[in-house]
Amino acid sequence: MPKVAIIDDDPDIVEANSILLESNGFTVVSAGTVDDAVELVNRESPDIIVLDVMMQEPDDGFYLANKFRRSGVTVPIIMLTSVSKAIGFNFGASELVPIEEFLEKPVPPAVLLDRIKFHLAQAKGGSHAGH
Amino acid sequence: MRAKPFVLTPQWIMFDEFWISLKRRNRWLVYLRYGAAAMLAGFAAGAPLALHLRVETVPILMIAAAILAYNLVLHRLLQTIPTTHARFHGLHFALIQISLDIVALLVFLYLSGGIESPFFVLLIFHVIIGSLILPRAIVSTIITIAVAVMGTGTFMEFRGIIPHYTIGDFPHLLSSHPNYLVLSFVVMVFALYMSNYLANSISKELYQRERALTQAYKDLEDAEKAKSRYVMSVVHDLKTPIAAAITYLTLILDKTFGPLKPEIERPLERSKHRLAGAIKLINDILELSQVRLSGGLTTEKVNLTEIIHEIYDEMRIMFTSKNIRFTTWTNAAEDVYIEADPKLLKLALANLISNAHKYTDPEGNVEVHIKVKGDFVFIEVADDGIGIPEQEQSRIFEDFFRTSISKKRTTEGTGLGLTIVRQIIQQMHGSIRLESPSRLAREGRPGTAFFVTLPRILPDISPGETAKA
Repeated sequence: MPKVAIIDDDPDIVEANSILLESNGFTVVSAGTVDDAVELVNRESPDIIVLDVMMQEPDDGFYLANKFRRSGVTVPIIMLTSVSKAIGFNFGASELVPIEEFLEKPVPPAVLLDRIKFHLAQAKGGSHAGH
Repeated sequence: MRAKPFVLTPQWIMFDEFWISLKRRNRWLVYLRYGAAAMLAGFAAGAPLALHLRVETVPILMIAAAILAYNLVLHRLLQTIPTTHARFHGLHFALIQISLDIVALLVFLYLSGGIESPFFVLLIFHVIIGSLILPRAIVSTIITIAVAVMGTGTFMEFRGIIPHYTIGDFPHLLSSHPNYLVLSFVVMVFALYMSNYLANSISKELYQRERALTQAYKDLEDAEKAKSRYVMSVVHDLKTPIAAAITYLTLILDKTFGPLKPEIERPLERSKHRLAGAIKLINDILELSQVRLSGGLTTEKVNLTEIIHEIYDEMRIMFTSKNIRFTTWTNAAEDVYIEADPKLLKLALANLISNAHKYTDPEGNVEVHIKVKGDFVFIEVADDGIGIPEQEQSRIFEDFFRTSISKKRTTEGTGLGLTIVRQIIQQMHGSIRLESPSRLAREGRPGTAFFVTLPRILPDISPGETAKA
């Protein structure tokens, strides 16, 4: 059962996405602050991270993503944002932001599920050759 | 000529437009001087024959030659004058040319009758030009020196210390009536100082006003940017809770929590639909703020043909579900490339095409034409939809404006789409206009056509402030 870490300071987003993912057979762990998130990822070693760009500070998401990567976390990271397209944060997933994909809020549940499954499969394919 | 910069450049002229117009004025003075030298030579050579006056032809011709010579040097020097406040700048240049002119004029005045010369009014002309450009103190100093030279010269002529020249054979006034001389001199001095004072006050006031206007414009721009940033943060905070609500509603409607009573399903669908409308409005406002916030564009060579096809691909389902025929046409043999900001260009065109789709009934037509002509590309997005009433056409680009017809329909719209489009097109130095009925008009379906003109290669844009996240 793949483990998803949802990192978002909006408890409703966390709860709704948890319900969605759990009803689809995922295990969900969550954190609402930067410090909790670091601790959570270290403790739980999730298979994929769903990260919100803006928490207390507008760039907490980026800060966290970089921190995870530097501390050797290689699992896929999907970043959720409310403003990506609109404010010309037109950063696709690039080397500057070490993540797999940006999704714009509100993310339709079907899309979120699809992307999580996709990136999990990719990650698996990467570690097990021939899969 | 060792004028100190701080004397030449008072605080009130320290703005870009001043230096640019100063360079232009300096150039005009150089051009005018060629004419002056030619007229002077013409006078020296032609006056004895045409006007039957006795003039010192050779010395005056030499003055004309001297003026021509230093003007050639000035003309060359002009190219190197920067349009900023540099070590040697436009005001130094102006001071040099005006001083040289006054020296040449004084020599010419002496040779053409001194205080009796009909040309001494030219001194006032020079003082006015000088006062328009140079600070008052500098020009006053020049006037004082010129007046002292003329006064001394006249006195010396009167006493016979230096010879007196005249351009007529008539008995000269110099010896006959000293009071007349003094009167002429006093009037001249008065006119010189008054011209300096008045011309300088007026031009200073104009420069100050120009600077105030420039500043006011910049302040307005800054205020607009601050407002856009504020709107963006507010709107972002609005969007987050709506996004959460939509996620819950979607889960409920997907029956994640179990089956739904059919009579509950529709109200929930409507809730979700209305919230989605709010998200769309928020995204539109964010986009508009973004366009207004970005002073500079990131420009690159963009494949316009490909962008149109990308937009259609993204909207294909929308078009096929309404059975609207989408066709493109171009006069270019290959893909059309233009210099533009790819993201904004796509945003603008997508807005136009999505509008055409939105306001066209099933079985309708939407056509996009790309015409390349010279340095411009003309894009036409035409439909045979509901059209825009003539009296509303001029308001269509206003924020939140929706036409009376569109409001009657169930079509959701925020009234921001075309505002965004026009802002983008204008930022790209293009223009947009509309026609309704369009050329696709048919019975009861006037349709609308938008015509966008964009330069294929952008003129130089000063690097503006780019948006910060």
